[in-house]
Amino acid sequence: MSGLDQLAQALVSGASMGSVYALVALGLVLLYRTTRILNFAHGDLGVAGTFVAYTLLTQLRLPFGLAFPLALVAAAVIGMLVYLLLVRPAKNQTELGLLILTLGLALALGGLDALVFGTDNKLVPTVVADRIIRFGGVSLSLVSIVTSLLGVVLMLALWALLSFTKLGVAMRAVAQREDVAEAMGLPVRTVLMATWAAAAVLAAAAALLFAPTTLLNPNMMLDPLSKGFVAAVIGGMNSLPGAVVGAYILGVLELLVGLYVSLEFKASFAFLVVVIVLVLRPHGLLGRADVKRV
Amino acid sequence: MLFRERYEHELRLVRGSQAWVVAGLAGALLLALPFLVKGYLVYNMTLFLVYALVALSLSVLVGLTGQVSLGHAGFLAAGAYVFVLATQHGLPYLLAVLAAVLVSAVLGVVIGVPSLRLEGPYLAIATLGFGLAVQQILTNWRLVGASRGTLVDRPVILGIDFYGDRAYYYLVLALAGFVTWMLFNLERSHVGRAFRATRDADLAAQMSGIGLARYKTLAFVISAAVAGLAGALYGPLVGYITPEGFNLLLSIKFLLMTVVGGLGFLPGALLGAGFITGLDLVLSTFRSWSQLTFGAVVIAVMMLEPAGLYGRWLKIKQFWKSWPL
Repeated sequence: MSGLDQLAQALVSGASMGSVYALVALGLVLLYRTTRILNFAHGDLGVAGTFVAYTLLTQLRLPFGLAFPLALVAAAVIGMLVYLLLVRPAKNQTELGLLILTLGLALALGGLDALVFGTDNKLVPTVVADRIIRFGGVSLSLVSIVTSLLGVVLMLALWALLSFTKLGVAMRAVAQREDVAEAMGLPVRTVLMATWAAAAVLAAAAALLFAPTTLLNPNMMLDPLSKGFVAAVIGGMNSLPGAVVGAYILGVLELLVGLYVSLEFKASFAFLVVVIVLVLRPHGLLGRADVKRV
Repeated sequence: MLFRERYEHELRLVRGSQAWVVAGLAGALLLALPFLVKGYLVYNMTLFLVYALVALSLSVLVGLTGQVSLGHAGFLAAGAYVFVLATQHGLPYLLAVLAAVLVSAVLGVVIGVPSLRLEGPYLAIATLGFGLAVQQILTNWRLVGASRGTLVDRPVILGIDFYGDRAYYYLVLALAGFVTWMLFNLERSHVGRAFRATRDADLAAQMSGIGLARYKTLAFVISAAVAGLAGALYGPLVGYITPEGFNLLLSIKFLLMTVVGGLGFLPGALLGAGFITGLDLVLSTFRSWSQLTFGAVVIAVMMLEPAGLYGRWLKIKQFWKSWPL
């Protein structure tokens, strides 16, 4: 295999990882810019949705086309419940307090998954049977191509939701100024609940697309979650396009480092990128600084 | 004496007669306990002391200065590994501990200076990245045994062997007690007040002549140095360290200790360290339920008491003091 083919292959697999990171990062940013919560339970919300899909696929033997949407609906319901039962009634509404709350939720959800489904690795059926497609000298895995495409479709769906629907516009309004949105008569509580649901759906979609790459277990999303955080921070925590840009940059760079520099330090490389980007631009590539009034 | 009414109250190390009684009782209990409990509990008590040091260091950083760190296991690991390398090169015990503290402090500068420009989520993720990066570098570094880890011996100082659990407990108690006393002193000094000023209103603090860059970096350095000391004590305690042991979950637990104990209060960090270490110990008996219960307890504390355990204690005290009003 020539060097150029190797590069092309790395770029495609990098883009497929980038799609997963982008979905995670989008969910994190969507929630952060609206609620100021750095959601550490994001990965575990996704895993919970994937376990629902796994049950539907293997126990009830539903086709993928039915199980996938049902799992997303289940994730949305879990997201809403988290908001209604935990986040809203919590007495500690500071940024750090809510962060700790999601850390506790992550531990609890992970523990619940392990208790119900066990900690062993499970094989999740894929959307399509995996084949290797040869394209010139480049061999690409069909699953990674489908993953990238599904990721892009979901991102477009989110963009359409935020741009063209009433709910989307309300979500953006609440993200901008919650108090003004409330004064204008927007049902802020419902909008926040919808935001949690949308974030959970994105988490579940990311986990479902990621599951074939690894195997399903309660800790599956630990690495994609930390990379999603990195992508979100690179792009800027309050910028949705930034999250996507950051995710693809990270996904491709990571594979290039694995290819040309060192496979061993591939994983720690992401955090070097974060430090460099943040030193140069403390609010990410596309993020804006919060205006502080004194 | 809940509210500090006069400047002298602010300056006191132990505030009020009640606090003297509590501090005295706690000290006596810590001194006497190894003779009252069984062997493995002495080990866990030592672990509590080490964790309490990290929780205190994090309390200085997060509670007093308002800078979040999700990577304190990284400083702990740095301290532990520097200690091992130093002892392997034949440094005497106290010098090896000093080396661990110094290297961690330098790491604190390395992380603290870029962090000056960061806040909120950006700082949290940058420090989280630091913790994970330290773990991964150690995993791939052959000099210190890479992922297999490395053995750590307990020290012999001036002919006294600290191999036994009880003997090592007293060594850790002496060092941890000394540093705790220093941190409590730091909190009531002008430096501690400067820390709190930068946390509450950084612009106003700067207007009053507090160099933000200087004090924010100082907080990071102090915090890293104390965590490094904890690492140097942690290595010989567990006897065998692996990079896997310094994972994200440990960093998260340290943050939980400070917040669950009561953010912004140094005694709260001690309380939180005791609470979380004890919870871990109790939950280890029912394995498969432990993580779920742990998470549920954390959620419950965060939902019910914003000020943490120490904050609740202060409220109870206030209630009885002003009862029946």
